[in-house]
Amino acid sequence: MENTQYDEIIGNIKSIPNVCPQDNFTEQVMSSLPQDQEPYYLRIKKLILSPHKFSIDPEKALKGLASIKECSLYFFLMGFLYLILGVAINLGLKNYYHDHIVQKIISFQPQVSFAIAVILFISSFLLLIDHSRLIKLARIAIFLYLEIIIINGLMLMLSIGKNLILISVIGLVGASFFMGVFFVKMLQNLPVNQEIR
Amino acid sequence: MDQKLEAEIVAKVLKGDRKAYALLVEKYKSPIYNLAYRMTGNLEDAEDLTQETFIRAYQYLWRYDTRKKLFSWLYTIAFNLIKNHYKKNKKHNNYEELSAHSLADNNPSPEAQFIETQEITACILRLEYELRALLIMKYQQGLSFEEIAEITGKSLSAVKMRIYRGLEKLKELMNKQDIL
Repeated sequence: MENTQYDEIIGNIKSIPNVCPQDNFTEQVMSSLPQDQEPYYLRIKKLILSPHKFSIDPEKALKGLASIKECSLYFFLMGFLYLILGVAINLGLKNYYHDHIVQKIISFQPQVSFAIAVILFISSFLLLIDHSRLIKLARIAIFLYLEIIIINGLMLMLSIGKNLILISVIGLVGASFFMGVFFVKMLQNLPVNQEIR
Repeated sequence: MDQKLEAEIVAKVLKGDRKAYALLVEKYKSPIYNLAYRMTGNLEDAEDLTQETFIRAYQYLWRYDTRKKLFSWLYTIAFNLIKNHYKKNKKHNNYEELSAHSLADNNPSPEAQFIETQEITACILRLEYELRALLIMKYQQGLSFEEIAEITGKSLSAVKMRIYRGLEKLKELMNKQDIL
């Protein structure tokens, strides 16, 4: 656009001289600034609405562009999900614990969920501290998570047998496994991991 | 002053160091003042709008995302304030006043060139608000298309198209005035 018929006009616009504000302009602005004392509601609003330095972007995390704090957030969120899942299963099975219909492996599911939630919360906390050795521990914790998911999933499937419920169990185990792989990948791609290796 | 240093200054201001804000005002007062002046054609309005821009930016500094350019953020505030000012004072045409002020400047250019500059400025002031703003930002202030798109909130292609249209209109106006 710039090297065409408009060259002359562009040159004319560029030739317009700059103007400068008065010498004491900065002082004027500084003296007009509002006082810092602000009401509490505004402080809360600022705390909630101010731009945070982390965001939720799994693609970014897999590419190794996410910060350790962002990774920690993923672990925390997943841990929270398992905590809710544990509570939900526990409430759902509450009246059937002594019933022979509920197989033993199923009655253990709330405990399994709580255990996974604890593993993920610990991993999240370790990452938040942001120390290379602790990140290594977080990686071990994730492998432990994967092992629990696989073993628990297989046992559930075997105990349920050929049943329609099997589809939902496969879905749940698959999703959990996928999340585990995501966590492993994310931790492997952390920039700080170069030092660990 | 790079983006990192600016982010540090912003952090200082947010922690209560008011004086640090003067560094930002000092750095950006001229480009914002120029934009306001070229948009309004009035020195007093330009000064008021620039001052208002910095006060508004100070009040809402907590909203500023330090990953982005402070320059673009300040320009966005200035651009919106100037737009509101323009809407309020739409009936007034200030290009004559602008010419008078331009004459008062101690510009070393030869007289003929000086008069031509005034005429160009007057033609720019006859353009509709948005086209004028885009041309000033692009060619007088040297901003990139991407920066202008970010400031105005328009897509890159829309900015390019409007700038092209602005140049076209300005050419027409200048031909009418026998400047070209």
